[in-house]
Amino acid sequence: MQNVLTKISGEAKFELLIFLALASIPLVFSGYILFILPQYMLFGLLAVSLSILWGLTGIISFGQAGFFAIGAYAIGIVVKSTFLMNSAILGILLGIIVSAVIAGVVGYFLFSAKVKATYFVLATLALSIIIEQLAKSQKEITGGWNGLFVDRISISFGDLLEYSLFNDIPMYYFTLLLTTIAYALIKFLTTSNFGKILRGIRENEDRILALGYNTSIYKTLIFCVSGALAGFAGSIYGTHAGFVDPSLARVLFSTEVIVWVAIGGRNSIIGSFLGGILVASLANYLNSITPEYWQLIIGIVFIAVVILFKGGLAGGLEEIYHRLKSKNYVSARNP
Amino acid sequence: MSLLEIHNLSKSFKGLLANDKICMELKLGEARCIIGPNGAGKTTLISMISGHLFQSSGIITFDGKNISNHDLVKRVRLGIGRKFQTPTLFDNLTVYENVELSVIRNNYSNFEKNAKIDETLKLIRLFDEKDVPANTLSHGQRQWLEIGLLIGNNVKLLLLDEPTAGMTTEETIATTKLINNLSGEKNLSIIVIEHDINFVRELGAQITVLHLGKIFAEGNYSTIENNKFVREIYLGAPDVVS
Repeated sequence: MQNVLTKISGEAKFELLIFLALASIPLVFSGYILFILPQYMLFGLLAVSLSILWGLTGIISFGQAGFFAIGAYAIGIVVKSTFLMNSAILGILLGIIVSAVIAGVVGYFLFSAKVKATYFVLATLALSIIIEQLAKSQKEITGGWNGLFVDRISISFGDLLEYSLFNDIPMYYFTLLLTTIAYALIKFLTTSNFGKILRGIRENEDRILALGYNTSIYKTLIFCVSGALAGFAGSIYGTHAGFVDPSLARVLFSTEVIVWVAIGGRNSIIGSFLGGILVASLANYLNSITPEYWQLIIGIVFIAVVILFKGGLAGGLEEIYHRLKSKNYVSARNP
Repeated sequence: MSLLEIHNLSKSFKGLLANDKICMELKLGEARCIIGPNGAGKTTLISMISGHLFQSSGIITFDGKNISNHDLVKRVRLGIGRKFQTPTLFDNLTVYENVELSVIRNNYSNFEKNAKIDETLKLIRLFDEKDVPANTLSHGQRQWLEIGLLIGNNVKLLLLDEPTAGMTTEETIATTKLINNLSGEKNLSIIVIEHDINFVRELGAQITVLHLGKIFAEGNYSTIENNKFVREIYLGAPDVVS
């Protein structure tokens, strides 16, 4: 028990450290990093949206990019077409709600029909392709192949105060704030009874069913939360990047999310979050120094991490930590 | 009043009659052993009661309700819990977390939850192992842990499929005590499928003998032991007609 307690608080301390570091970056650095890091934080959230499915519940989704694109298009379309005061907030909410509803409906039919994990993956893949095709074909709404320009939003509080996110530093802190809130909510969810039951589904679905839990409802709910989170990240991404196009919904992007999470550590929320940030930054950096080979290098890193640590970098670090602490440690967490 | 009533329950698999018009009653707090040679239909019968299989015909009544068409989850929530033939646990979670997963379905307060978990862990003699992952337990301990999951789940009827398989003699004795304690003090009804005839004798419960899907004999241990036909089909009497 003592071990478990120190481990939990250790992880929480680490998470606090990461968010404090993110908060202090604008005090130290300036320039491009302040522009690009919010985007990577949103990628981190996107990675978390997969980690609560894959790591926590044991379901893989190839459709996370689809939800991300829905969020981005939602804010783009709303900001463009309405003259409401709070069109930005409306856009973000719409991104969350549409993603959640689509995930909920798809999840409900697939899970209550007891579809196997493999077929679920294929269904999410198809979902992603459908979203991409819709984005391409509905030219009047989405701009088709050309995409959609999205203005940086302003958040207004009544008539008096308007907070523009046009500059990088306000955008940075706005994104960081929302990211932190979303992260904390997800963290709370994973430690709640709901999260424990999801872990039970991952470990042994037959047993959790035989304990009287309706697993299809739990799986539908977590898919819904995951879709909502991806849509949320996407909506902020839309206004941050200023541009949305159909490539956001591509299967290739969904696959990238899987790579981030596998490298970061699917069983760890903070590991996945950092996986999203670090692997996306690494990919960007490598792309600038060696445009021909960057994908190859990321591929090698991916394979190396998967072979060396089954639980990704987070799982590997945890294992090393426990090895150092006690030589009798039995790897329990990361099967 | 009977907790469980089974009336003319049959199950056929593509023409093969695995259970043929089984009738059975079980009172609150009663333990019952089901024995019979391989293929007698013991596990099929338990699966129909737990909701893992649906009957071809017949009626199951539990606690005064007709549950014949209830699905698995609904039956568990009424109080029917099942232990599988091979222990089915959350292998990578600790013993404590295993029991916790079964206890939290009851919407307890934190205090009640912890009390229930501790009580269950002590009952199944795994309190000292509570922080150990379930996959490091011995085979016998794993069987107990699975029984613990049913206790934590607050079931009224336990269906135990070969609870002593793979146990040492000491563990088997402890299991006998545990089952008697559960039916006697906790007033739970229990159906046990067993092959170990010593265990069946020690348990001292009423016995139902299944053979080719039918109830072949019923009674206490000495009645069954002295039944010539039971000896022939099950205990392996020397003078079996070839």
